[in-house]
Amino acid sequence: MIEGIYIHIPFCREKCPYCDFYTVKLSEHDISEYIKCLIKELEIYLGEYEFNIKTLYIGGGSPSIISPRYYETILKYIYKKLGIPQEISIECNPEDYTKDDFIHLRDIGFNRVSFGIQTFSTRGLSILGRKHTPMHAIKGVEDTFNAGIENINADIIFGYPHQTVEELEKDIDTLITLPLKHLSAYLLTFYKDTPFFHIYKDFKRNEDELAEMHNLLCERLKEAGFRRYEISNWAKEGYMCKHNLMYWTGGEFLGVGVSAWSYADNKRWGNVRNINNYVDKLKRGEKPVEVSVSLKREDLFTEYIILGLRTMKGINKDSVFIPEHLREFFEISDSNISIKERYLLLADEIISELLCYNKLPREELCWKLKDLHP
Amino acid sequence: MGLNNIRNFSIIAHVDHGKSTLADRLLEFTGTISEREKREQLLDTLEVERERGITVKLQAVKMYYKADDGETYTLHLIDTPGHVDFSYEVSRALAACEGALLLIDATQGIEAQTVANFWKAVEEDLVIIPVINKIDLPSANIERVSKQIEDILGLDPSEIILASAKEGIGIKEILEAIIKRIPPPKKEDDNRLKALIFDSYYDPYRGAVAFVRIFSGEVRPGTKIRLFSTGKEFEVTEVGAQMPFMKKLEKLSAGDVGYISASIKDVRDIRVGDTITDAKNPVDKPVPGFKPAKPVVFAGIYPTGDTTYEELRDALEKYAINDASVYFEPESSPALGMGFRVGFLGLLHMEIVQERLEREYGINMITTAPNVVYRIKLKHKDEIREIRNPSELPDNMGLVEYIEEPFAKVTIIVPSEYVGSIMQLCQEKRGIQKNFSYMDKNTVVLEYELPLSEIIMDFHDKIKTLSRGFASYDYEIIGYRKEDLVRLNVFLNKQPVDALSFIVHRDKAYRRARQIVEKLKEVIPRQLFEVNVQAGIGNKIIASERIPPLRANVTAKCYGGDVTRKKKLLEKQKEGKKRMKQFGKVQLPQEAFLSILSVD
Ligand SMILES: Nc1nc2c(ncn2[C@@H]2O[C@H](COP(=O)(O)OP(=O)(O)O)[C@@H](O)[C@H]2O)c(=O)[nH]1
Ligand SMILES: C[S@@+](CC[C@H](N)C(=O)[O-])C[C@H]1O[C@@H](n2cnc3c(N)ncnc32)[C@H](O)[C@@H]1O
Ligand code: SF4
Ligand SMILES: [Mg+2]
Repeated sequence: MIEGIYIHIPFCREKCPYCDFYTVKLSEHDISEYIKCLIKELEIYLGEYEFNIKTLYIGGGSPSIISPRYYETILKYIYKKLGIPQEISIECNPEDYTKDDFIHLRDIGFNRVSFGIQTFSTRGLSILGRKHTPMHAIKGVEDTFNAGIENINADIIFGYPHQTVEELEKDIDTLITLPLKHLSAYLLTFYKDTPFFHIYKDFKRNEDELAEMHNLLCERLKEAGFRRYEISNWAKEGYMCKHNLMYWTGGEFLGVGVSAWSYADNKRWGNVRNINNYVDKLKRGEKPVEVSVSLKREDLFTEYIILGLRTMKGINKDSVFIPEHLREFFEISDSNISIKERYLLLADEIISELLCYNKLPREELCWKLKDLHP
Repeated sequence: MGLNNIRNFSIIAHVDHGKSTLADRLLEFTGTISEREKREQLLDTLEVERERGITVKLQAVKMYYKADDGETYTLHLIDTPGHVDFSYEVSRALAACEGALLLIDATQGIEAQTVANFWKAVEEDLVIIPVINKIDLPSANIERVSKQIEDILGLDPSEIILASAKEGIGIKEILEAIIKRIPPPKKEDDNRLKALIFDSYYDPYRGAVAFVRIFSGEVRPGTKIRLFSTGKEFEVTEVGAQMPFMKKLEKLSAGDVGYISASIKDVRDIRVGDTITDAKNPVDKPVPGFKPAKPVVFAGIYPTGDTTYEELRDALEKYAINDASVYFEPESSPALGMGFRVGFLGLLHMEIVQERLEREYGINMITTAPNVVYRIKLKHKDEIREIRNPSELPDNMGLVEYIEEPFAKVTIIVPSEYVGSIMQLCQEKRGIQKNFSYMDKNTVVLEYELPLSEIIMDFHDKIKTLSRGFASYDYEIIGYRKEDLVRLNVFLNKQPVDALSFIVHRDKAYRRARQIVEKLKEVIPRQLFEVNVQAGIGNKIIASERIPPLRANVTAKCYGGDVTRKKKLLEKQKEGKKRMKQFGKVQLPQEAFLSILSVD
């Protein structure tokens, strides 16, 4: 049963040097044609799977650089075919939409807006190669709030080159004064094939400083009433992002658009990473799929561990074997185990080490990823 | 075809002087391989050989050649490796021949293994045909090299053949010289089967296969053979020769070089150097054979990752039949569990064995720091004990009357401009100079006595760096000497790690202790826990470092599309970890065990 839909809008004004999402320059492409293809793709899958849609997520790229009226077309189509999802999110760059646009978004059904703020430091924004100003970010959040959408998220990046602990502290100070219900704080990743990877090849981040930043986030956000529920995600009571939670708990979802990934029937498949191919394929009525991976029992179990241990809820404590020397990193409750908050910055190290000891579930657990999560 | 029309010869030379390339030309010229089958260094078939561009194993091939005298001859060619570690391969090849082509690079002149291999051939009483190769190169100096051949090897310059293996110059002259100068195999009065095993390998279809030189009699499928050393008997299933691909033949007779398979399942039954005879009609005495290879460097090999001890043992056994010079025995280490102590002919040999076990047998393993074989005499005990693993040295050195280490005579041939720095290096390595002479006006021959342990460390790299690649060396073990040696123990989080300990001269202990902890700090990745690295003599710590715990390793963002990639990334990290060896909480990568090789 498919519970969520992700729609990829690949357009950006310019490419940020650290970003490895599939994006293209807006000016070079035909938006209407792309939107038509999205609907065509949805149509193909409608006949093939069963749907009970709870969440819809429009992500990018920069969905906010095209007019809300494009989304009106898509949303109407989805409502007609599948009903109205509970959570409808859109990712926005802070500098794009006006208050009127947010009103428009609200009117057509959006009830969650996520801003790519990254930082409020002018120096930081310039290091990251971002074109917006701190004022854009603040105004964007306020306009959204005033337009009547109260579920607002801010994405921030920490640990970017040359960032100081004080700069992050200032970012947090500003964030907690804004009307936010949700916060994603991402440690900057240097993805291969991005300009950042090459520019900062020999750049060594000070790990002790990263750990200090992480502690700061843990403490300050808790004080401000945010609860952490995943490595990079904090929410006020009742505002966890249902769509993202679905990813981490084995919910089935359909991703449409260029480069989008889907998961259903123990299979993950990814679309072509080239907008022209994407459009061509759909014009010919073909599925735009490029790779498809069938998950075997052990894959599902590995994913269960990898994804589950990123959440604070964790995983069933009887499903894995934890060797003595790793025990101190885990919190153990009656039914579950999870990584202790102060060690979350080491999650990949801990998880990959745990995987050395766990190939198959200890208990006869169910075959579907979803069922592994009680 | 009678014995008179057979010639058996090896190609010997220093590394890179062109042996394998010349073998290619001979195969082509005689029409043994067709145009289509041509490829460079065709006889270097192992993956490691092709990648590194060196010959590791000897290769025997059969060719037919129609000579100027109108007769057709059978030629058995054995290509050999040139590196000092593999000189044992050369000895075995020579035992199966009556003659040798000695190749000398026209631009390099005589180098250390040229001399060493020349003497091996002389000892075997072989006819030697000197060939100056690479005359096509602009920097070829034929005059100089001819003079060296005359002065140093004492060969008649009129016997020299000028050739370019690359351009195919001189190939016919070489073939004619083989026919005219190398004698045919000696006729034995006996017609009972007598064959020398000079090589063997394991073939999944044929079982253990023996490469042999037949000295008398003949062998064919159905012959019941007996192995001299064990008395075990087998029925031959197939005989043949490499031409250069395996080809079945009706029989092998006196003078021939070829292979025999007899569905021999247990690889240990085929011993290189052993004699094969006819079970029904055996000869009384074996072929003199040759000294078994003597491993000079020992290291532990332990399974990691998904490899089990049994799989490792199986692979080693199969491997050992294809490489008669490795020696192994089970050992166990408190730090590493069950594994093997394996003896090698040198460090390059060790590297090659490790690489081949991993690639050809799919083994995951850790090789511990290599060491030479020490000897100790305990007080109040008469016996002298061999120490193949530093951990066998008693903790209490008070019990030890003396400890000895092996010394080697090293011959270094070096252009005079680099003599100074090479001599200084030998000094630092505790060397004693024994000889200094000029080979010609620009080339010096140095002779030193050096502890073998100093040679196996970074001697090779140092010599090559100091002489910009122009110096070459060869060594030969000359015996044991008493020295003031101590064991340096390495501790991780205060626990001694036997697999990291090593034996050093007391005067160098402090310096090496410092270097080893620094090196370990560099190669052990930061982990979830702090790692304390110390080195000491006995329990007295003389150097220490700390590796702070890892603070951050996480990919922050993980959304729907990332899952597949995320999984790959973590599984890669997991595989990396599995290749390391867990010691308590600490994970040690392969480099950690070889750290001592990079300290001087
Ligand atoms: N120019 C030139 N290069 C040669 C000649 N013979 C061999 N080589 C090159 O020398 C290198 C070493 O040759 P190889 O046959 O592997 O030497 P081996 O180590 O003695 O077997 C290779 O790069 C060959 O291509 C020759 O006659 N002329
Ligand atoms: C795909 S972006 C789309 C949002 C919007 N285009 C923007 O950039 O503001 C979603 C979020 O991913 C995060 N992100 C992108 N690249 C990242 C990287 N290399 N490391 C960590 N986070 C990253 C940023 O915080 C960004 O807001
Ligand atoms: S970070 Fe956002 S705006 Fe920048 S290129 Fe990536 S998707 Fe586009
Ligand atoms: Mg060769």
